[in-house]
Formats: sequence, C-alpha cells, structure tokens
Amino acid sequence: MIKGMYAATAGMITMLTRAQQISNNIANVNTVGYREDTVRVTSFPQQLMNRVFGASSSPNIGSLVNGTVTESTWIRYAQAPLRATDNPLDMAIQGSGMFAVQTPQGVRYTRDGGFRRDGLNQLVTTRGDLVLDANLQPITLPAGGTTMRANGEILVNDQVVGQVGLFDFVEPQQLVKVGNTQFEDARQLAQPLAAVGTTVRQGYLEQSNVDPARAMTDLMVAQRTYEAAARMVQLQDEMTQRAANDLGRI
Amino acid sequence: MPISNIVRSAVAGMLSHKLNLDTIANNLANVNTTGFKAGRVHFQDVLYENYTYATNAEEVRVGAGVRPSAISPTYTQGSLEQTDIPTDVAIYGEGFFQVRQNDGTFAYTRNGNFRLDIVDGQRVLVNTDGLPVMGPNGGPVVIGPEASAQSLTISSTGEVLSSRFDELVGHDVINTIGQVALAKFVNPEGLEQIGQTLVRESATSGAVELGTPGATAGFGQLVGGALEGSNVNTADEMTNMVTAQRAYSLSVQALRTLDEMIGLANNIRSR
Repeated sequence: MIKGMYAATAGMITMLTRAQQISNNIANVNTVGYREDTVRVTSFPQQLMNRVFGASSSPNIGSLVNGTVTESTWIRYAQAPLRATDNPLDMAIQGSGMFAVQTPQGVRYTRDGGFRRDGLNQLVTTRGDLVLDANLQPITLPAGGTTMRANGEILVNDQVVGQVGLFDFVEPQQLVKVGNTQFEDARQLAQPLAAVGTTVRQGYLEQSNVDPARAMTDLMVAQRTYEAAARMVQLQDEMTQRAANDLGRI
Repeated sequence: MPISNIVRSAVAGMLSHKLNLDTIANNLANVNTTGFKAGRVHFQDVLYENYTYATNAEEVRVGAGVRPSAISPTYTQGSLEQTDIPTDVAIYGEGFFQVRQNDGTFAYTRNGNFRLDIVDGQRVLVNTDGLPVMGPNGGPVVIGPEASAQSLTISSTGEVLSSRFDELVGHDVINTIGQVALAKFVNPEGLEQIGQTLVRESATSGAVELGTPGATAGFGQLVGGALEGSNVNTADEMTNMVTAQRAYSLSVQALRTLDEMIGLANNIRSR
C-alpha cells in the first residue's frame, strides 16, 4: 500500500541482521582461529538512493517493495596476531591456508591449531577430530617430545613422523562456516589445493581477527541506520495518516 | 525471527567470557597451591544459520555466538620450592604420582606433599589426604617401623633411603627401603580433574604407563625435600583477566545495542 514503508522495513531487517553478525563477531573476540564475518559493500542505504535517484533505469520504486537487498556474508581471512602458549602441540598458521580435520560429517577446515594427542597417540583438535596430512590421512605421533618445522613436519626424537596438511583455496569465499571454528566446502566450489608459502609456528595459537574497536563502531553505524529506517517507517505512517484523516476535510 | 535468537550470540559471549573469568580467578586463587596446573579455556564459534530474504539474494549466514570447547590444564613445570621436609618430593619433568583412593581405584597427582601413616596395619607413604602412594609393583610404598620420618631421603630415581647409625661400623648406614613409581599418560590434558589436585584416567587421556622416575625414558626425576609450586604465572593471568573482562563488556554493549534496536521496532507505532 505505502511504497516507501516496505523499503524502510527491509532496511531495518538488514541492519538487524548486520547487528547480530557484529554481535557474533564480538562474542568471538577470544576464539582461537576465528575469522570475522562481514557483509558485501552493497549494503542497504546506498541501494535505496540508487533506486530512488538512479538515472540509468526507470525509477521503479515498486521493485524495492520486494526487498531485493543484495547482501551476502563475506568472511575476512586476514591474519590475526599469534600468541605464545607453552604447549608444543599448539600450531599457528602464518599466511593463507587452513588445517584439514576429519569430523563425523566429513573433512572440514580450520585455522584453530590448538591440537593434542588422543588416547591412541593421534593428533586431534580440542573436540577430538583427527588432524589430517596433505593426503587427508590421520597423523600418529610416537611417544616422545615433539618439535615442528615451519613446513608442518612433525619430528619426534629427530625423526619426521608426519606433516600436517596445509590447504589453500582458489575460492575461499565459497567455504561455509559450520561452527566449532570449522569451515566446510559444502558446495565443492572452494577448490582446495596445497598451500604455497604458508608456514606453521609451534607453541603459538592464532587469535581471533576481530578488531573490537571497529566492531563497536560498525555496531553503532548499524544501530543508527536501523534507527533512521525506523524513523522512515514512522514518517510514512504519518503521511498516510494525513492522507486518510486530513485531506478532503473542509 | 524470535527476539531470543537476536540476542543469542551476545548472551553466549557473556556466558563464555564469564567462564573464562572464573577459570582465571581459580588460577589466581591457586597461585600458591602445591602441584596446581593453570587451566585454559578454549573457545569455538557455534552453529551458523542461513537467512534468505528474497529469492534472488545470496544467503546470509549469522552465527549463534561462542561456546567453550575445553578447559584444559597446561602441564608446564612449576617452580620447585625447597622445604627440607624429608617426605616432601617434587617431580621435575613429566609424570604423576599414583595414589590409591579409598574405593580401590587409582588417582594421580603432581602434589608430592607426603607423610607417613598407618594404612591397613602397615606404615606407608601417604599424600596429604591420607591416600597411600604407590610403588612400581602395584602396592604402597611400605616404610618399616624402625625408620623415622627424619631419617628418610627420597632419591632422584624414587628410591626411599633410610640412614641409621650403625654401632658396629661406627657411622651411618644407608638402606634402600622402598621405591616410588611415576605414571605417565599420552594426553595428560585429557585427564579428568577430581579435586584436591588429583586427576583420574579417562578415555581421552589414554591408558596409564607406570615407570621409575629418571630411569625410564620420558619420566621426570624426583627432587626430595622439595615441593612443586603451581605453574600459574600471575602476570599472564592478569593480562588474560583484562582481555576476558573487556570481551565481557563488549558483549554486554552488543546486547544493550540489540535491545535498543528491538525497542525501536516495538515503539514504531506508539506516539
């Protein structure tokens, strides 16, 4: 009925989703290997302007009513700072790429290198998922102290006993977050390949790459944009009220 | 979507960072506890949900927050403190003392604050809670009635030595009267904590391996007349506390903002 009102409502929904996303990022400021979620730059406010004042296409405001807000999640894979731990099985990736782990749901990828041995001497994650080598096979460590090389080779008693697999992706944005700080190549579009130039550091964990200051600023922006959209809904309502009650009155 | 879902990640953040603060507080409270190992919380993100608003829009994935995946102790060496009490013993390196609990099962500890006591009619080495310390043969470390606590020494390989003045030879004679064993696990982080600085074997820790201190490869040495202090690093814990507290505040702020936004939607029509 009222053209602008639905567009403004779509803006409110978009900004609420964005705020939820930022809230999720903030909840994970201390999560090892967490990668920040962002949205693609064609966010709602700019699109509203394009539609209303755009010269190239017909200013068909009706198309806005359906809420064609193109927005998708974009994962920021930027490197996060490393933090020293005293655990010889903690590994941090420097550069792009991920570890592969075997879960009950299939192979998944993670930047969380907080590993340990399980009861069978295999290298596992904190959840107990097997850490895989380049051929997607589990890694068994004999008893003894472990040292690591930058290429992921693990040495026990100066003998190489395995090498953690490091995978890079042609299309990293096709990976889907599935929780447990794991990523899944659900649509088989990410195209994993052996990482080049990526190194592993022993005794370190890579932190979350969420910047708290920027997250809070983004949250403020989302909140104020939401507020503006809500105000727009109110204004549209007021205008309709005028039309319904005041127009035609003598 | 329901309001409870909107604020879910912020609430999960608050709860997780609270757990982190609790763990740090526990570490700091045990900064002087013998054999205590500092705990660390490991976080993971939680299940993602798809939101699709229009048929031609790409899916938007929003996470449901964070949860702790493990609280694991860090088994780094604690500092050794000289006590000069003959029945005190510290482990330098890997391994645990094995003690027998009252129900007959075994528990393990790094706390070597031992004393002598009578258990089942025998004078044996016990820990602070009176649980007998085990030797390599699956039995307690029996100390004969003739040896006084002051005359004992525990060697680096776990032998319990008793020195006694011998009238015939005219000087002290040292006899080996017992042996303390050490236990080792493939994954000590997987041991189940049961309080009193005791841990118990679990499925993730792997099976216990018994050995002699120092002598068997991979087992630490014993230091008699000393205790292993906690491995809590106060500076580290304070830094962790600051970051955990800030993370908590950030989640509170996120919750407040989301609440204000929901409030705005609720009040759109009320003027």
